Formats: sequence, C-alpha cells, structure tokens
Amino acid sequence: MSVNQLLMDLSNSFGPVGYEDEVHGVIREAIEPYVDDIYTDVIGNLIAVKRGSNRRIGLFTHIDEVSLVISNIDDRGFARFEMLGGVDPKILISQRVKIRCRDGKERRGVIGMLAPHLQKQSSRGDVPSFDELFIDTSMNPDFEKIDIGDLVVVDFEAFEMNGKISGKSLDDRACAAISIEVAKEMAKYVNCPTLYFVFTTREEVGAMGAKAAAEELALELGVAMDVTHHSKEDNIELGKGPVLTVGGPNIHKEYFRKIEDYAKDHGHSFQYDYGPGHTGTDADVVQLAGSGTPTLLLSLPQMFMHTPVEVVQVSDVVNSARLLSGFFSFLEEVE
Amino acid sequence: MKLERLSRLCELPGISGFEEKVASFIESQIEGKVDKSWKDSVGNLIALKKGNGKSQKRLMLLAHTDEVGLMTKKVNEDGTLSFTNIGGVDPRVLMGKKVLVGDDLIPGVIGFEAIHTQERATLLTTPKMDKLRIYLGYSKREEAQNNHRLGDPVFFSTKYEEVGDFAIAKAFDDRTGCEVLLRVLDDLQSFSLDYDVYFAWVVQEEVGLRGSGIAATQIKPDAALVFENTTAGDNPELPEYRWATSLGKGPVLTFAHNGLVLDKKIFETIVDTARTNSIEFQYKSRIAGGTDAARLARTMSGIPAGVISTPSRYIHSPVSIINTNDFLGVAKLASLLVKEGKVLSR
Repeated sequence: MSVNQLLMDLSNSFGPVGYEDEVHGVIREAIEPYVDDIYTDVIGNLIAVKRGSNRRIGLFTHIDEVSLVISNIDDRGFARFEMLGGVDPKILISQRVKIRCRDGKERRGVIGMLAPHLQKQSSRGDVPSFDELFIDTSMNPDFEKIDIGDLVVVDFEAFEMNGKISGKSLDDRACAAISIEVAKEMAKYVNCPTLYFVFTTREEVGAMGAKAAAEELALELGVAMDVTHHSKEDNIELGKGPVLTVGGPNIHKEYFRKIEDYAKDHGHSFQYDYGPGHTGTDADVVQLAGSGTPTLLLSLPQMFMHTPVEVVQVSDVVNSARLLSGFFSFLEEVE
Repeated sequence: MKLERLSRLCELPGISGFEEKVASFIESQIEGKVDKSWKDSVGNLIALKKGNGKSQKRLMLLAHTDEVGLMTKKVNEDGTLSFTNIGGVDPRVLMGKKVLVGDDLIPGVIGFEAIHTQERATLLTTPKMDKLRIYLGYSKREEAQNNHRLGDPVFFSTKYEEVGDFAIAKAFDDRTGCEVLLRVLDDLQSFSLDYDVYFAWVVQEEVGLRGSGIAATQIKPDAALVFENTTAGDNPELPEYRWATSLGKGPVLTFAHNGLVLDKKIFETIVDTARTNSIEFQYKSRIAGGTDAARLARTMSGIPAGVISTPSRYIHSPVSIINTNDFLGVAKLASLLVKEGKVLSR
C-alpha cells in the first residue's frame, strides 16, 4: 500500500479518545508483515514488536482523535454534546458527523445552526458556543437508539492535494504511518534494536495510554511522535522534513545530540523546535515512566490542527521514517 | 437510493453565473421529451411541451439552477486564495470544509488557525470572509497563479446521501425545484394537455432574481408556478411558533414573501388542489426570503405566479437536509396543477 493510501485509511477510520479499535484494524493489517508480535495492553494501546538486539526502543504515536460525545438528546432527535479534546466550535458548524452507538451501529448526524436570516442581527457576528450547537440526528429512522455517551466524529474523507494529504485525524495518525514505515524500512538494515511500536490511546485527554505502556516496557529510549503547527514565523514548514525538539527539560540531551549529529552527517533535512517545558505530547509521560526513560520528540509539521481538514506532507512522513530507521541502525553499529 | 436524479443534480457544481454544468445535465434529461428547447444569452434553459391546441394559454414552470458559493479574488504570497461570496453564504459554515475550485474542480480546503494558538477572547467571534483562505497545497504565489485564474468559481463538495426518509446534500436550493420540473415533464409524456407548458431552468436567482425575468420575456406566459426550496427553521433553539416551515409536513405553500404578495387566485387554487387530493401541506409562516415570483411580478405586464417549495434545514450551507416525502409531495402537487390547468383560468 502506498504511504498516501495508508495516511488516508488511517485518517478515515473511526477512533475517538478511548475507542480506537477500528484504527487498530488498519494498523495491524499494515504493520503485520514487518513485525514479530502485535498485542493490545490493558488500557487499550496497540503494541507491535520487532525483535532485534537487547536495546529496547519505543516509538509512541497516539491514534485517538479529538471527538464529541452525546450529552443529551430530545424527542425530535436533536442532540447536545460535549467535546473530548480541544475542538474549535467554529469548525463544527455544518459538518456531517458519524455517531457510533451502543448497539455497534453507526448513525448519521449533522451539526446545525439557525439559518442566518432567522437569526437576530446582533448575534450574526457570534459563533455558537458548545452550549448552543446541536447535532441533528432526526434523519435516522431509529434515532432514539442514540444515547448519552455515544461517540461522535466529523465525517471527512481524506484526499490528496499536491503531495499533501488533508484529513480529519492526521493528528496523530500521520505519525502512526511513520511508525509503520519505520517497521518497513528496518528490513534494509542488518543491525536493529528491539523496537516497540506503541500506538497509544487517550493522548487527547492526558496521555495515560503512553504512560501505561512506557511503564510496562522499561525502555532504553522512548521516541514520541506528534504533529506540530506549520508556522513560518517559527521556521517550521510543511515539506522541510521532520522537526526535532531541542533539549529543554522533556528531551534527553545526549540522545538529542546523537540524532542531530546523525541527521546532519547523513544528509537528512530536518527542522528544529524548542521545548521549554513539557511538550504537550506523549513525550511528557514517557519521560516519567518507571525510573525515568530517556525521551526524544519528533514532530511532523501540520496545518489546521484539530480541524477536519488537517494537512500533512507525504514527503515529511517518508523522510521521518528514513531518519529514524537509519538512526536506530546507527545506534546499533556504534554502541 | 430513492431520488437518483436529484442526487446527481445536487452534486453538480453550479453557483450563480456558473450554472453551465447543471443546465447541460438537465438538457440531457429532457432530450426527446420536449417539442423545443433552447439556451438563452444568460444561460437559462427553456423548453416547450406543446398542448393539443384547445387553449392558447401558456403556463410557465420555473426553478433556478444556481446555488450559492464563493469566487476567488486574490492570490496571496503563500499560495493561498482569498475569496468572496456569491449569494448568501455565512462565513460560519465555511471553516473546516473541502471546496472545489475552478471549472476543473481542483480540491482545496478552507482551514482555520488551530485552536491551540487562537486568542481565547475571539474564539467565538465570526471571522470576516476576507480573513478566510482556500489552501490548495501550494506554498508560493506562482504555483497558484499557474493553476488558477482570479474569479474562479468555488463550489461546496458535499456528497448526496439518503438516510431513512431524509436526504442530505448541498444545493437542494434549488435543485429540488429543477427535479420537480423534470418529473412533471416525465409525467406529461403520456398526457394530452390543452395548453402549452414552458419549462424554465433559470440562472442567477441567488444574486438578485436575475435570470427569471429574461426567461419570462421570451415565453410570455399567462401564469407561472415557481418551484423552490425554502428555509425550515424547525431548530431546537426556536420555539415552534417561530418556525418558518418544518420538515415532514409536506409541500410549503407561500401566500407572501419579501417583495411580493402572491396572486390570490393561484394561491387558492394550489391550496384547493392539495386539499382535494389529500396532499398534506404547510404554509410558510414567515415572510422572510424571496423567490423569482417577485421578479415575474415586475416583468412585462406582471406575470401572476404561485410558489411551492420543499423545506430544507441548514439551507445555504454545505450540508442541508430535506424530507424526501416533502419533495415527493411537491412533485405530485406540481403534476396535478399542470394537468388540471386551473391556475391559468382568470
């Protein structure tokens, strides 16, 4: 499967915070040929293992997506909702959504707003808050089956656009694609550490998935991967390769120097980000796991984060995988 | 799918001034079913179904082919496109959407700054249209300039879908009307009419009712029926007494709207016909909004018209909803009115 297709399949699958099962299916199928073992742990992470030396390295990418949860529904099928993860109400208006119900069935919803010409003149400049937005589910013949606690995501089919992919949950499944590509790339190398590809649950509400896995795995090095904002001002741009977060408290200085040197010496283009405190990614908790885990953070530049039209560049995904697989093999050779 | 042709009509790109693809599709659907058809200088498609000659009167059936959308107006340094609206588009429905740009329908997105970096104070403020951008994957002005012209139309890209008794799509306003006309024409294939019926699929309704008058001038009808799509407003935030119309209550009959009190005789004929044939209907209970009937009243010596609509929730947005039974009710009522011809008797 092409990387483009993998990115689109990952983005299209339904995986709200804590309910990532469907994404597991896509990942299992894609990574299976390249790993020795795949399992899920107690909290709901999917972990794929590629056995190598005694050196244990973990790659953490979260596969949950920001989502909504039904909080109330009236007898006409108009539902109210809360958000799981940070969602901007501005991007929700007039979206088609999928609702996964207790009976396992998917039902349809539309996030509505009063037609502008029926609104008061004074409120036309305002975006409805979460308390005012609603999901219209009345079109489903059996909308009464929808219940409080059912999970909702915006229905957006990913597509290609000039070497980029736009989709609803490339944060952080585009990085899951990097992990899968790393697993594939490792076949090129003779020397390989034991790699744990951890596809984590619940990052968007506090990263407890990554924490649990890192505790269990007792790693020599944990590499968290997440998306970061495309920002010309901050010198982070789509198409210029992976972004490495320079030290700061969350990043292991020695490993950072090693990967930076490796990237420079081997002609990998990359960009820098700076982490003055915690990084707001799985790296925060991986570092604190067990008796402490040396941690790196690799970020993928992204536009329009937490909207249904997130954009990443395919070459950044491919180049990130090349950098990491080469670096892992290099560690084996020199140490 | 129950309404296959409607699904195709809704998915066609056709904003005001760029209705060619819709008109061409309709032209392909009426081939062999009409006595004469032509496109005029603004892009209206007009067709004649001749009567048996017993009456010299002419009835005009009208629906508009255009939908609301956007138009590019500037290529920015970073390769994004700025745009303005064509027809009534609320900027609040645009963020986080895929759009199609130009005649070649190049896909792009209208993104928005990530919530993480936005100022809290303006999180719930509607951005001005000119602060929004279409991103097509270009990083430089030149890339965009090589592929796009200023003034390119921008279309919503919603796929049509039926769920239960409902359908979800863009452009129900007024492709439902376009399809009503096509259904009436199909229905007339084995029917002997006493008078001539003209079908007019007109352009530019959304930007000031601009196509209908020109069409009517060519047809010179004695009366007209306008088939529209209209605001439902049966939202949870409004008390029932403020609903303009609601889904599932049947065709919407209009007694008056912006700029026009409709012809009393035609209005009453429509109501009587619905009653006699047990078609459940509803009145549009607000005056807001207008239709091409207002233009017809100002054309020639004033063409009397009736307006029948399919109600739609979230109209003028990329994702609107209709009840398919409401639509079928409009189509049934339309056929009855045309066959009976009472709307022509003065």
